[in-house]
Amino acid sequence: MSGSLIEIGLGATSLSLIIAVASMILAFLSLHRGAPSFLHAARHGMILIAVLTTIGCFTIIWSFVIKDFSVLYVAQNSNSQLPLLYRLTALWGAHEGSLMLWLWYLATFSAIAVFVHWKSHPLSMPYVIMTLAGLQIGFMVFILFLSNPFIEVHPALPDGKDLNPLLQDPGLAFHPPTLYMGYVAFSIPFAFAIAALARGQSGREWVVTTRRWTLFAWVTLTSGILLGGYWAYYELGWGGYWAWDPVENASLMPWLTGTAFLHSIMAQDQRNLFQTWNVFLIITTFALSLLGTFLVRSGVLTSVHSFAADPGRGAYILLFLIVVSVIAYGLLIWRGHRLIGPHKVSNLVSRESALLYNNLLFVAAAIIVLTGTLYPLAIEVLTGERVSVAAPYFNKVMAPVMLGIVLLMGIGPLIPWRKSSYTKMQKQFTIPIGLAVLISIVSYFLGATDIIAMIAIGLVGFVLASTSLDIIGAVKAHRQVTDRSWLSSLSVLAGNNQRRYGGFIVHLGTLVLIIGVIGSAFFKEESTVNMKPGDQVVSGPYTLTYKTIVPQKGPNYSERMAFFDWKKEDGTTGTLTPSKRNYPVTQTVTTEASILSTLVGDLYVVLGNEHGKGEVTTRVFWNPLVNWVWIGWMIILFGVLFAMTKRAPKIVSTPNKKPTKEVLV
Amino acid sequence: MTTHPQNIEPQKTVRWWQFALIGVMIMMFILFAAGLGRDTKFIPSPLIGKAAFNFDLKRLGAEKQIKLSDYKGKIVVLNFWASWCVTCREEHHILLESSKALQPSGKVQFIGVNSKDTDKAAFGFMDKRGHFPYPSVIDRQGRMALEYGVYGMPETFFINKNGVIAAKHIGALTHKILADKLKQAEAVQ
Repeated sequence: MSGSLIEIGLGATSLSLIIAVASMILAFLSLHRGAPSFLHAARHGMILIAVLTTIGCFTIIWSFVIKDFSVLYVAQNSNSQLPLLYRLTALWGAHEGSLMLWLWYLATFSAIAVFVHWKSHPLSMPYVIMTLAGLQIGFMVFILFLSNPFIEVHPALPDGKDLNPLLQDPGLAFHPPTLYMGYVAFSIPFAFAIAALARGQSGREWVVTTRRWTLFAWVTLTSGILLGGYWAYYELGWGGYWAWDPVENASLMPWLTGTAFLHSIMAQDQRNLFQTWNVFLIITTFALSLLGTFLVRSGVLTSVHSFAADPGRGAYILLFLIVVSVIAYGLLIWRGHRLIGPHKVSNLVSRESALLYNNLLFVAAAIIVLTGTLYPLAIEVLTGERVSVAAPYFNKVMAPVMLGIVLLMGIGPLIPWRKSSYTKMQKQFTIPIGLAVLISIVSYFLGATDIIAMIAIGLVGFVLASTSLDIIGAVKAHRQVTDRSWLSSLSVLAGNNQRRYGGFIVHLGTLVLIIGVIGSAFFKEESTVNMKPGDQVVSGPYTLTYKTIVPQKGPNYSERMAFFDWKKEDGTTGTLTPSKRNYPVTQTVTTEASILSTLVGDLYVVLGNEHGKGEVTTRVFWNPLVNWVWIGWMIILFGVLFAMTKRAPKIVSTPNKKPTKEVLV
Repeated sequence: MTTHPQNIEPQKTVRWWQFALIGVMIMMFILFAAGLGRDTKFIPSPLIGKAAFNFDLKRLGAEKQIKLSDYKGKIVVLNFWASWCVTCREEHHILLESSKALQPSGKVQFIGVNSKDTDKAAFGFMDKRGHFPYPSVIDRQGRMALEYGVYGMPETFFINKNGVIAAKHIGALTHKILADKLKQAEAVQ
């Protein structure tokens, strides 16, 4: 009965492969035969693929819902006792389903992009469809032939193996799909960039058109990464949210180049600069997204994300990565010169040169992360030895680059395009610089003895001050001509200029996030102690007293829960209950941290081993300002949404450089 | 709308970045391709070089206890398997063939550990795919798997003549892996 359902999913996905091949061929033929009906058919194909892959995903999810253990993927990643929420999210609990989700995003975004940009970009459309269909084919072949989630086993297995307990957490339930969404959304600007390259069309058209896609991709990738950190912090129980693990790095690399891209397309939009560079950035961002998938799924790197590794699959993803990069970078090398416009960055102190420095720093950061991530692999391939590059390398090398980026954040948006003058800048930045120095010195006396921390705190003050002064100046000027109140003046300004003020909000969110990072990186306290009932330990402003440990029972696990009383300096009290859970089906033990979370900081308690008579090893962390990281993220989300409310100006396809026949009528 | 002169093709000159890009791309691909062949599941187990846990468990399908120490003087190939384990099906014929070939010499003994399974399912599995020509012990609760630090099914331990774990393999066996690991078990004193 249900067996036939999963077969429908398999059938739908197989059919979508055939349609994708057909769409690609039709889009290609439409270029040469000039038959608009071919391109129309290809468009219908793209929309049909989105429908078919939706059916494919749905049949897997439904098999999880009805606990159909005749589906191998369901049996391997769920269990009859698994709660419904996690049966729903088990789709991306392992390799096969994750890729299906990837494909579904790609198919859906492709269909939306083709539909939305159909009228305005008739000349780019054949190339866009060819690119997107090509990417879809790559994933469909992989899914159908090498990692098929639709495989059935007969007779059905009596019960499933259960989902990896680490994934049984709401934070993680949403981390992978958000991250993938960010990765995949970059495929749309990528496809338009390929079209621009293929057509040798150098205008601002493709960056303006895909601006919202880029913002969307950027904000989902940002959220995916932060959700991962959030999950690591609350679920993994080691007291932090970022560990420079290879898989984390794999998601950070496209974020860094994507952020560079997000900034540099402004220069192409406003001043028609950096055309080739922007194409390079988006190709690199998308290639790094694929590389992220490759690194995670092939098992080439050793990581805490120990997914089932399979060299056959790894070889396929590598091949796919090679095909995509050879075609994309090959086009760039072959055709890139046709994009170069007549303009140049003419002045060292101007908005465009600030964007240039911003880009150099972001790309440098991406190279640093890439090097650190691949170094162990290179060493092992060359010498056979196993090494790992850990946090100290990344922290040391990345800190100055990041500080440079923060500095630019306080200057770039405030200086004009084309040319600024030193006297003007002096006027603009004297007060903020003075303030920054003052804040740094004060922070030293308040306990920021680390030089990096001091500079970072000063820079945050600098950016806040310079940006506020700029906004205040604008509001003042506006009030002089309109006679409005301060607040309404500000809202009119922001409402007329969503992109600029959206950007300011995102920058503000980033500053809040950075404050959280500074607090938790430089001022955290950590202690590991063996505690007997009645013992006390001091952490931050809290005194923690260990009471007792007792066994408890959960729906699909049993646990040992410890009770700690905390007392703050100001006299408030409460209880924390960290525990260790044992999931019998998968034979996994997880530690559940117990966290007292406030705006000032988190008191974070994790259990280690028990030593009998209630004695237990306890790790206690005082993590200042961690919540600011998540608050910063919320502000960033709001800022991007605000910036996205600005519609892209209607742009009609500019004609190709080399005259080609008009394709559409 | 852009005001570029559309009929002027910018001059095509080969630039340094084009070479750099090609070079970086080739280097990366070589690195990844070389990285693919590695045994990424290789985790140096803390158990290697330590005495193997001396179990005393009921034999699958018989009223008899089996102890590891019964086989002292032989190399023991201890294979964890279960009917629900899909990868175990892959290595099944390899276990059948090599145990038939190796055991008659008297130097090597295979033992299966049927872990977290039911007798009925286990026999169903063997009825369909072939019975092992060697005993399996029952590890219904997975205690034994825990003692050996089993990471995933299937997993195989190679215990030398003195009862010390000489090697282990995670995942499906192949003839080559089996031969290599047996060599390691022979070499260790």
